[in-house]
Amino acid sequence: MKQALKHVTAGALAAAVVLALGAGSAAAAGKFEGVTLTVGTFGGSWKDRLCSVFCPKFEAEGGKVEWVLGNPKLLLSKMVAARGQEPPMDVIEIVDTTPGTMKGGFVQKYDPANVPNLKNLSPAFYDEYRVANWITEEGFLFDIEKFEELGLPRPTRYKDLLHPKLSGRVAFPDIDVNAVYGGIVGFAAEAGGDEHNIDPGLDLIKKLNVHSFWKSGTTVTQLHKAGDVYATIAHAGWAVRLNDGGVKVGMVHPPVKDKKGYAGIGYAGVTTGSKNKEAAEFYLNVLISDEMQELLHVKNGIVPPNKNVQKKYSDPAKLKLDATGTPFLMMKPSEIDNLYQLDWSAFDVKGWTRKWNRTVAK
Amino acid sequence: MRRRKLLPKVLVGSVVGLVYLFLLAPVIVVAGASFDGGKSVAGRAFLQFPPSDLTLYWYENIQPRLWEALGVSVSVAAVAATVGTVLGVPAALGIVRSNLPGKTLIATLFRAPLQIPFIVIGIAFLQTYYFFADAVGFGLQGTFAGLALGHVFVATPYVVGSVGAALQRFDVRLEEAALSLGANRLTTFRRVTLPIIMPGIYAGALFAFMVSFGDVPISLFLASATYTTLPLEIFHGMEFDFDAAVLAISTVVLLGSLVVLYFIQRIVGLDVLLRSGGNG
Repeated sequence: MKQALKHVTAGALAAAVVLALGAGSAAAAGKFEGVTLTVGTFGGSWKDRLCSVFCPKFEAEGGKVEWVLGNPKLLLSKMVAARGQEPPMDVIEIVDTTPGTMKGGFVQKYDPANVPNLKNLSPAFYDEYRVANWITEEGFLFDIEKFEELGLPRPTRYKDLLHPKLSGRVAFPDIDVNAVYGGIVGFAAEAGGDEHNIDPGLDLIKKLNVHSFWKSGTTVTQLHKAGDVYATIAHAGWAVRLNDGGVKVGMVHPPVKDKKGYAGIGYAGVTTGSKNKEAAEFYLNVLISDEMQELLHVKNGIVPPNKNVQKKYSDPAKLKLDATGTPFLMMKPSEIDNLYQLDWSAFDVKGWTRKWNRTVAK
Repeated sequence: MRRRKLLPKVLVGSVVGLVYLFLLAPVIVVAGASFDGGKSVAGRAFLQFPPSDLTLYWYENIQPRLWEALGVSVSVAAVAATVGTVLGVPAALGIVRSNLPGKTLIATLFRAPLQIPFIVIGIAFLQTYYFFADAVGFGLQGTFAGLALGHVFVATPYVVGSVGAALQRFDVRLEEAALSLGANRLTTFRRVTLPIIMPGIYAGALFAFMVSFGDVPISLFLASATYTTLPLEIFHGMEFDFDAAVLAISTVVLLGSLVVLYFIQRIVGLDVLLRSGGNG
C-alpha cells in the first residue's frame, strides 16, 4: 500500500512537472511564433532606429524581422519585378513620388482594430490602406546673413525668391526628388494654380534662374556652406541640420492656398498578398507609437504624425530656433493639421515630368 | 640654349602634375576630410576640406553595419573574380584558339553583359529569381549566391577580354616547340601557355574584382539587408543624412587597396598588369 502511494505521488509529481513545463513553453510562445516579417523601408540610420524599437517587441512575440532596404521607388520596382508572385516584403514605404504603389494595387487594406495607436493620429494622416509614419515640412530655407547683406527682408512667400538679387542663387530639387512637389505646388498656388494646374508654377520657377537642381540633401548643405546659393527649396529638417553645422539659415513655410506650409508625407502599408498581415499590422502600430515617433523626431528630424509627440515637442522651450529666434518647425497639432496636402487624384508623375522637362529643365 | 631645353620639360612636368592632381584630388579630399573634427562632428552636416582640426572621431565611430557591408563587398568581389576567372580563361581559350563555327558571335555574346546597363541586369536577375522561386519553390533573391551570381555575370567578360588579348599576342610556336620536345598538351599548357597568359589572368581578375566591389546598380536589386555591399550601404545612408564615417571607411578601403597592391608588387610584380596591356 505504502509502495503504491509512493508510485501515485511520484506519478502525480511527474505529471505536475510536465504540465508546468508545457504551460511555461505555451506562455513563452508568442503571438508571432515562427513568423518572419519582411519590412521594406529606407536603409542607414533610419532602419537602425526602427529596429531598435520594433525588433525587441516583435522578437518577444517569437517573430523575426528581415529588411528590404531602399527608397520607396526602389521598393516599388522590386514589387513590380515580383508581380504575380509572393510579394518580396510584407510592409512597404510609400511617398508622393510613388503613387504607383497605390494605383498598382500593391497595398491592401489593414484592420484598424490591430492598429490601436491610430487614435493618436489625425484622420488627415491615415486612410484604410496606409498610415503616415513621418512628415516633412516642405518650404524653403534661406541664408539669413546673405539676405541681410543684400538688404532683403525675411521672405514669407515663394515669389519673394524671384527678387533680381537672388537670380541664379536659388537651388531647387530635381524632378525625381520627393521635395520637388511641394515647390511646384507652392509656386503654382501663388500664381493662381495648384496641383490640378501646375503650369503657372513652372513658369515662375523658370524665372528663378535656378542655380542648380539638387538630388541629395547632402548637396544642399554643400551649396550653402560654400555660399553658392542663398535659398533652397527643401524641407525644414535640412534647415535644422545646416544651422547645427554653423550656417545661419532660416526656414519659411509659405502659405499654400488656405493652408500654411506643405506636408511631405511618408506612409507605410501592408502589401497585397502578404502572408503575415497581422504581423505587418503589429509593425504599423509600433511605427506610430509614441516611443517610435519620439525617437524618429529627435534622432532623424522628422515631424511626427503622432499627436502626443507633437504636443510634447511643440512646447516653446523644446523648439529649435534660428538666429533670429524663429522656430524651424511648426509642431503644434493644429499647425501640422493645417499643412497643405497634395490631392493624389490630380497627381501624374509622367505628365508633371514632361512639363518640367519642357518648361524648367529646358 | 638651356632655357630652350628646359621649357618642354617644365611644360611636360606641369601637364603630368595636373593629370596626377586630377586623378588624386578626390582621394585626397576624402582622406583629408575623414580626419576633420570641426563642424562635421557637431553638426554631422558637411564634408570639410581641408580639415579644421584633426581627429580620429569618425574612425572610432564607423558603424558595425559599414564593417559588415565591407566584408560582404570583399566576399562578393572575391567570388566574382574567382568564378569569373574559372569561367573566363577557358572561354577565352575557346574563342581565340578554336575553329568553332560562329566564333565571332560567341565572342560578342561574352561581351554583351558590358553593353547592357547594369540596372537592367539587376532587374532581369531579380525577375529571373522570382520566376524560379515560383516554379521550383526556391529562389536566390536576397541570398549571397544570388548577389554573387549577378556580379559574376558582369565580371566574367573582363577576364575573357583580358586573357583573350594575351592569347592573341601569344606566339604559338612556343607551344609547338614544347610539344615537339615531348611534352604532352597538359604539360605544355601548364608550363608554357599559362605562365605567358598569366598577366592577362591577373589583370582580368583584378578588373573583375574592382567592377564587382564598386557596383551599386546590380546590388540595388539583388542585395538584402543581410547581404548589403559597402557602396550600397553608403548609398542608403546618404539618402538620409551625411555621416562622415563613410569617409573614414572609404579611407580604410583605400589604405587596404594600397596594402594589396604592395603585396601584388612583392609577390608577382605590378608590371604583370602592364604587360597584359591592362585592358579588356
